[in-house]
Order: sequence, then C-alpha cells, then structure tokens
Amino acid sequence: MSNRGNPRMVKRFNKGFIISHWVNAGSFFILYISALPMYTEFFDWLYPVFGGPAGARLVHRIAAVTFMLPLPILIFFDRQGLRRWSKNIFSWKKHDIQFLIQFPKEFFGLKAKTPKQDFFNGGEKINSWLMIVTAIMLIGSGIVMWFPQYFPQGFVLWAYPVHNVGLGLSAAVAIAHIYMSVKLAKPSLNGIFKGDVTEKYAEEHHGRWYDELKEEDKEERKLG
Amino acid sequence: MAQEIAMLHDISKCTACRACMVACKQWKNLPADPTPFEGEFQSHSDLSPTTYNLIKMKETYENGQFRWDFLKFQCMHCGDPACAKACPEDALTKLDNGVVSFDYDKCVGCGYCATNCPFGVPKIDKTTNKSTKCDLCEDRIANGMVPSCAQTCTADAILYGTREEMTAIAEKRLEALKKDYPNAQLYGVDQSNGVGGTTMMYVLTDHPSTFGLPESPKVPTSLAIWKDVVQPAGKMMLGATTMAVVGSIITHAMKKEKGGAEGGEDHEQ
Repeated sequence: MSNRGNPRMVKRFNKGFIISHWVNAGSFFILYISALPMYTEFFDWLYPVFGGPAGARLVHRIAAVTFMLPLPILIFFDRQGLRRWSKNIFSWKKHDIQFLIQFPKEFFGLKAKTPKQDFFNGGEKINSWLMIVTAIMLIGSGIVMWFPQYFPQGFVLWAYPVHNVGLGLSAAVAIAHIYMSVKLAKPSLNGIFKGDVTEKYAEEHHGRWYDELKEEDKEERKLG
Repeated sequence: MAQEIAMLHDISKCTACRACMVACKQWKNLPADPTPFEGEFQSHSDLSPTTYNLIKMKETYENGQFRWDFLKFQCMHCGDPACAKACPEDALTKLDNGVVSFDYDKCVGCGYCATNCPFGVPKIDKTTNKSTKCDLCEDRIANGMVPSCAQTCTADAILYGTREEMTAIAEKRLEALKKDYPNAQLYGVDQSNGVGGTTMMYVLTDHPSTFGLPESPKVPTSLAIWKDVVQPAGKMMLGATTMAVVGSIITHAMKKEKGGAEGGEDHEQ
C-alpha cells in the first residue's frame, strides 16, 4: 500500500501534449466565464470584472483565438502524442464498453469490475469525442457569429442554438472531467502537469498500456 | 390591464413629406444622418442608430407607368416580439399596451435582437454599444400624448389610438380602397400571423412585398428551438451533472467513513 520514498514513474505525456491540454483548458475557462453574465443574469456582476459588456466580448474573442490553438500545437510539437491519441479514440473494443458499463459503480464508490484499459480508457475516449465534437460546434458557430456579414442569414440564425448546444455539452463534460481527475484519479494529475505517472497508477488504471510498456522494456533488454 | 393601443399608417394617404421623420428626430433628439444622393428620392437606405423612422419611397415602372410606393418603416411592435425572446438581458419587453419597450441600461449591445428581428429593425450603435429602435414614444404615450410622428402628420396618414379604433378605421379604408386597388389589404391587424400581429398596422394598396414588407413574417424557427428547447435542456444537463458530482462526493465520503481499511479500490494515496 505505501509507496514511501520515490515511487517508480513512467512517462505518459510529452511537453507538447501538456501545453496543448492547458491552452485548451485555460481558453475554455476564460470563454466560459466571459460569456456567463450574458447567459444568465445571476452572473451580471461579472460584467464589471471585464470592464463592461464590450470588455467581456473582447476577452471572449481573444480566448476564442487561443481556443483554436491546441490542435496546431499538437501537430507542431507532439505528433507522436497526437498519433497515439487519435489511434486510441478510434479503437473501440470490448474492454472499452465494459468500462462504460462498470463506470457508474466506480463513480458512486461501489465495487466495480473494470477490465484492463488502453492508454486512454473508455471514459476518456468518450470524453475526447465529446470534446472534439463540441469544439467543432463552438468554433464553427462562433466564427459565423463573429463575422455574420460573410454568411447567409439562415447560417447566422442557426449559429446561436448550435453555439448553445456546444456550450451545454462541453460544460457538462468539463465538470465531469475535472471532478474525476481531481477526486477519483488523483495520481493522474501528475501526468498532465509534469508528464509522468506512478507505475502503480499506470498498472491499475491503464493495464493494457502498462503491459505494452513492459513488453517494450523486455524487448529492449533482449536487444541490449 | 392597460388599454391596447395601435398606430396605423394609411399608405394611400401618405405624401412622403417626411415630416414624421423630422418629428421623430426632434423628439428623440437624434442628429441628422448625412446621406449621399443615390439618384432617387429615397433619403436613407435603411434605419440606422440615429434614424428610428424612415419613409421608404419605392419607385416602380410598370406598363409604361411610373409609380411611387411610400411606406413608413420603423419598429413594428410585434405581438410576439422575436427581439424580446432573443434578448439575453431582458432589455426588450412587450408591454400590456402593445409597445415593445427598450431598457437602455440593461442593453449590452450583443445584437441578438437585430439578428432575429423578422423585419430587420433594431440597429446596434457601435459608439455606445447599445441597440436602438422606435419605442412608439413610450414617454409621450404614458403622459396621454400622441407619438410625435402621428402628431405631426400633415395628411392624416399616420393615426394613433386604441387598437379597436384603429382596426375599425383600417377596415373602413380597406373597403373604400378595394374599388381602385383590388390587391389592397391590411397588414399587422390579424393577430394570428407569425408574429402575433403588430401594433404598427398598415392599410396597403398592394401586396406587402411591393413595399418591402415580408408577406408572412414569423419568429425564426431557430430562435424558438434555441430558447424553448436548447436552453432549458442545457440548464437541465448542467444541473444533472452537478447533482451526479455531488452524489459521487457523498457516496465516496460515506464509503470512507464506513471503513477505510478495505479501500483497495480507492486509488487515492
């Protein structure tokens, strides 16, 4: 149980992946906060924080631009991570489905029989897809709302509900994602901050990936 | 409940003298909009942040005859105003008397009203970051006066009164006009149309499109879906997610209290 001293660590994310993640998270948070006072009057007090509605709009547009950066960052700085991520989220096997079935139990603290998981588990795969879809919805409709003069009236009118659907879905996904990382899988945080996770975490949460790592290790030793 | 009022523009009487435009500018204390000469009598091409009321002068050449069609154009004060539905700040509200009222202080200049108005009326003032439109001289009405445009109309083409009175006058005029104008019709009087009728009503000598008015104006479907389906669903989803997280926190706390010894499943260290 105890892992005193220095627990053995394994590399999980490269710098590019980590930066991409936090640019995404930071932009999303600023976008969310700067739009909140317009979404509900309960948060009207946020207007003065941004220097009035015009200030909030400016902040929202700046963050909108940075919100488009995570993919280019991955393409330029961590193609390996991008490749692994995209390969992973396209692969759907029995253990991914099993994860989703067992997940509610684990979420509410019951005993769950979750099979070994990939580098990204079934939940993270769903999370990734929702994030990709909502980002496309938000960015696409956002551009139309920003430059309505270049789009037909029908486009502009439908951009608003689409932006709203994107917001609702992505906010729900973000809340769940943050909660689970902070509360239910705390050791994973080190991965997204510093890049490596404990071997114990890798084994318990991403068994299939851990097995791959061990295989690679063996082969390297053989060669060496 | 306040008495429902209405304004009526009888275009068969309008001479396009544009005194109503001047009266509007005067009462609302709006500066003149310098406009270039476009080779026709039309003054401004559209409403603007400093022009709430506009006489449209449409020139038609048909069967060897030249014709002018005049229309007093401003906020229609819809029975079911799309602008008010779209406004995220409740700056636009439909009053019992029929006026679509505008609260300058609440407006944040987002422009949702302008995008969703089926008549393209509200204009955003880029310098003040506020929406602008006719409020039917709300302040004058409240003090028992007539809106300044109707007050000044020299041809009695703009009338103002209770909705019943205006409807009765409109119907009478329509009957008289039918002889010479077979396509003559009323506009905005019928409260079952796509925008719930309008407080700004018209006696038209031809089809609405002749004067640049939409034949069947309606609240955009996208707006109804956005406000009546998407937004409530989104709020419910956020609520459900929050409840799930709270539930998870509670169940995990309960589990810990019961006995941390068997916590092999717990990944916290």
